[in-house]
Order: sequence, then structure tokens, then C-alpha cells
Amino acid sequence: MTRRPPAVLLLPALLALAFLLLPLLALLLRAPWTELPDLLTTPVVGQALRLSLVTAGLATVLCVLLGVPLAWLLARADLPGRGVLRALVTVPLVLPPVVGGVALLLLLGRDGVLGRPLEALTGLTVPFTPAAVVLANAFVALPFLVLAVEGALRGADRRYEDVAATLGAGRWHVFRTVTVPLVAPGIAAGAVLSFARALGEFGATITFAGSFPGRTQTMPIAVYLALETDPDAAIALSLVLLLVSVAVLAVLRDRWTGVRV
Amino acid sequence: MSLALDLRVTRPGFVLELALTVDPGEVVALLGPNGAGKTTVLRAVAGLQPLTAGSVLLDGVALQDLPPEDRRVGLVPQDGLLLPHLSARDNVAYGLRARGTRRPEARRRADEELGRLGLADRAGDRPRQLSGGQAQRVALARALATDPAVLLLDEPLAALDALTRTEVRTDLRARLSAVAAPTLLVTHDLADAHVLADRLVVLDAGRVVQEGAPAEVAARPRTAWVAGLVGLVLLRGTGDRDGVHVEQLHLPGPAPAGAVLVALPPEAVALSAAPRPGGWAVVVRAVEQRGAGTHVQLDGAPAVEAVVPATALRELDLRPGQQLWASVDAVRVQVYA
Repeated sequence: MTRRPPAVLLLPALLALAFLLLPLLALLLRAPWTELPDLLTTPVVGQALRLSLVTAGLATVLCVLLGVPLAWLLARADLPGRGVLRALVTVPLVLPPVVGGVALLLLLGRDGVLGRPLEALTGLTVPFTPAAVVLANAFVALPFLVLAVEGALRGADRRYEDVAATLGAGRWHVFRTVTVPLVAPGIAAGAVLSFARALGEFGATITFAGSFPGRTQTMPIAVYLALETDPDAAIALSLVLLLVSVAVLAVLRDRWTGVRV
Repeated sequence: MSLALDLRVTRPGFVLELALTVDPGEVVALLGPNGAGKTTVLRAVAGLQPLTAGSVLLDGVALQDLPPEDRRVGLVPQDGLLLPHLSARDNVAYGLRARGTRRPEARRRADEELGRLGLADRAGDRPRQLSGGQAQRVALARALATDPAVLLLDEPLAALDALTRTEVRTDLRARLSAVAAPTLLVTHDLADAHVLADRLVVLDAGRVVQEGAPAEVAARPRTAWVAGLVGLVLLRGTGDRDGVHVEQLHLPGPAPAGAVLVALPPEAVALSAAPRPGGWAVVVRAVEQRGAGTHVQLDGAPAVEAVVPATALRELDLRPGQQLWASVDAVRVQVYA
């Protein structure tokens, strides 16, 4: 006979479940299902959707290109102060995104530490451009990728790399042909997490990139703005974001346990 | 190619010191208990374990400062370690590809090497589709495909079941006989060493404790660990004109003078309830049914082991703590300096 859980635990547990699920249910209940096809094809929604997918995609590519080497460094290299370095990498995870946006502005803004010389030398300005959206996205998403890949690297059996080295493979060849395939599931999981985080980015983006329709107005920002003017469009966009989240969960369902975030 | 090792590796709580020369085509087995430093020797030769001091010379050329990829060693690691994302063929071709051979040529030579080990039909399989014995043979093929100057085998048969083990051992022997490279084989199985090795080096706690032909080491072990492998009890005694003395045990007859080792098969020890001339008092510590006989561990001076035939078992009524008399059939004992 299985014993009933005590009410003092069961009640708050059910409340917590309701608290997590009821808002999503409300979203589904109030969704303008019949007008959905039309809403999703309006220019504002279409632009935001396309911009979000492109910028989040580019940010994910950036995260993989920069994050995998960083994860390798954290997991494998003989670094002094590695613990401190790892802590610093995780700062954007706990930092309020809007602070990240401010920090990016202070670095790359027209008056920024790097932004001013950059403009003086090349005439390029970063803030309030689609490139700024990509950078803001990558800033908040990179730690997810680094931590996922670092965990995979620590879990991988290094003796495979040793054998490859005895077979004549140099370190870069070993990295390409042994290390990366061994941790590919970790890289994929990290990339999916990064993409999801980038897609939902709001605070850093609106601070650093602003909200120009078609240029920097991503889906979360469009949702927020549409809520005032066109609630149905806001709901439609929210549904799309919810769908992406569910898809991410589905992709990660087998990998979740193997990823330490 | 001949390999000359003079290794010193120190780690907290562990020192490995080994001087060893392996001739071209010779197979030297490194035998020893866990933690003796056998795998460390292979890793040092392969360049995966830095030396604290010493040298690894291949035909007089120093390898110790080269990275593993420049040493031309073939390593067959414990449990194979085939790259899981590559087919058997691409595993074998890996070394050739890493050294710049073009893919079709590398694959052709991989197929050749696999064919030599009877695995032509498994070339396209992923490692997880192979049996343990097949995977081990692919690992051997992978090491040999690069035509290594030194071959290193780390317990290549340890992960296999008894039947497969015998089979792979036979294949391995056949294949090794055609290898001109000096070969180091790590094992903790004397049977593997017997079949595969020309010479045996016994390591214990990072030092060589015995070296010789496998049969000689088995007949005249110098450590309790090796003696245990061949089912002998090793005693340390003194020889003089009178014979050999090991505490209360006296073996008459000619013996080397000074400290001697006595290898005692348990079959040579007889037990009786009553005192016997030439015997000594012992106490039963443990009784264990093993194989066809009943093995009895005995405390006394010296402590020994005896096998009691079924006929004698009834009379003795063995139980721990029981007092008995032991005596030894001197003819069946090996005495050596």
C-alpha cells in the first residue's frame, strides 16, 4: 500500500503546480485562435519574428564559436585561478539583463570605452543596430553554452584523446576529430539552451539596441509594446514564444540530466 | 629498432624506477599487482606521462622530450577505447589519416589490416556493434596500421571472458610474431605472459623485483604475489651444510648457503593429527574448497597452505582453530638463492 503524502506538503505542492501552469493556461484560453493566421502574418509580427529568429540564431553561432574554446580552456587547460574565471563567466547568468545592457552601452556606446575609438577609426557604431541585438543576446546566452560544454568535457573520457595522440594526431586534430564528436551532445544542448535564452532576451536588448521595428524590435519587445496597442497581436507572439520553449524542452528532454547549468 | 628505457617517475606516495631494454621483435611482459606502475611505464613510453628523470631511447634516439604524436608508438589501451563515433574501418584508418594519408588509401590499408585479423566483414560496424573480442582486435589493428616503431599493449585481454580470451590470445600471438617492433605487454595474468611474451619483468611498488623467461619466473618466484599466481607459498629461509631452515621447518639436502627462497606447493604439505618426525605444530586459520581439493590455511612457524585429499579429509575433521602437525615432502619443493 502506498501512503498518501501529508496534506501539509501536498497542498503547497499542488499550489505551486497551479501557479506555474495556470498563467500558461490563461494564455491558451484567451488566444484569438481564429484570427491567429492573420495576426501572425501582419508586418509587425512578421518582422519581429524574423528579426528574433535571425538574431538569436546568429547569437547562438557566436556563442558556439567562442564558447566551446572557452569551455575547453576551463575544463582542460592548466590555468591558475580557474575557479575565479568560471565564476566570472557565470556572472551574466545572475546579473539583471538590463544591467548587462547598460554595461554593453558603456563599453560599445558612442561614448563607450571601445565604442568611441571604434567610431573614430572606422565610423561604425554598434548600439541600436541589429548587431547590437546579436551582441546583447550573446552576452546573456554565452554562459549557458559554456557551462553545458564544460560539463560535457569534464564527463568525457580523456583516454580517447590520449589514444588519438599516440596515433599521430596533434592537439588541434585531436580536438576536431575526437573531443568535439565526444562532447557533441553537450554542444547541441548548450546551443539549444543559448538559443532559447537569446530568443527571450528583453532587458539587455532594449537597453543596448532599443526598439526600432524591423531593425531591433525583437519578439519579446514587440509583445511588451503590443500589449498596449494590440493585445491580440501580443498574445499571438506570446504563443509563438511558448511554442519555441516547448520545442526546446522536447529537444532537451533526454539531455537535460547530462547538462549542468 | 630496439627500445632502451631508463625511467623515473615520482608522484606523491609513488616512485617508479625502471631500466629495461627491449630488442627488435621481442615481447616483454610487465607483470605485477595493481598499482605496481605497469600502466605508468606504457604511458611514459607513449609520451602521455612526463618523466621526472631518465630517458626513452629508440635505436639510440631520445624520445622523452617529444609529444606523443611524434613518437610513432602503437598503443592498445585497456578495454580498446575505439572512438565511438567512427566505424571499425575509420578507427583503424585514424592514425594514417592523422599522419596525412589520403582517405581512400587509408581506408584500403585499414581494410587490409582488419582482414589480417579476420575482421574484414566487420569493417563498417560501429564499436558498440562489436563484441569485446572483436573490439580488442580492431584496437590492435588500429595500433598496427601506422606501422609503429614501438608497440604497447595494456592488458589487452583483461576485459574478455575466458573463452574469447583464449581465442584472442592465440590471434594476438600469431599477429605479434610478425611484428618487428619491440613490444611491451602489461598484464596481471601469468598465462597471457606465458603465451605472448619472450621475457617477463615483474614490477612491485614501482620497482623490478624479478626478470626472466616466463617458465623460470613461474617455477622460481621471488615475490609472494607471483608465487600466489602460480599457486605456491613462498618462504624465506637460510641454507647451510645441513640443508634449509625456515623457522621450525628443516629440509635436509644440499642447499645454497645464506638467505634462500623456498617455493612450496600446497600439495607438498601433509597434515596429521599426531606429531610426526620433521613436522611442526600448526593451527588451522581457514578452510576453503577450491577446485578438486580442500585448501587449508595454516598459522605456525612457518605459516603455510596445504591441500588435503578427500580421503584424509574425514579423519582430520578440519575446523578453524584446530591444532595439527604439518610436514613437507622435500622432493616437491624448490629451493633457490
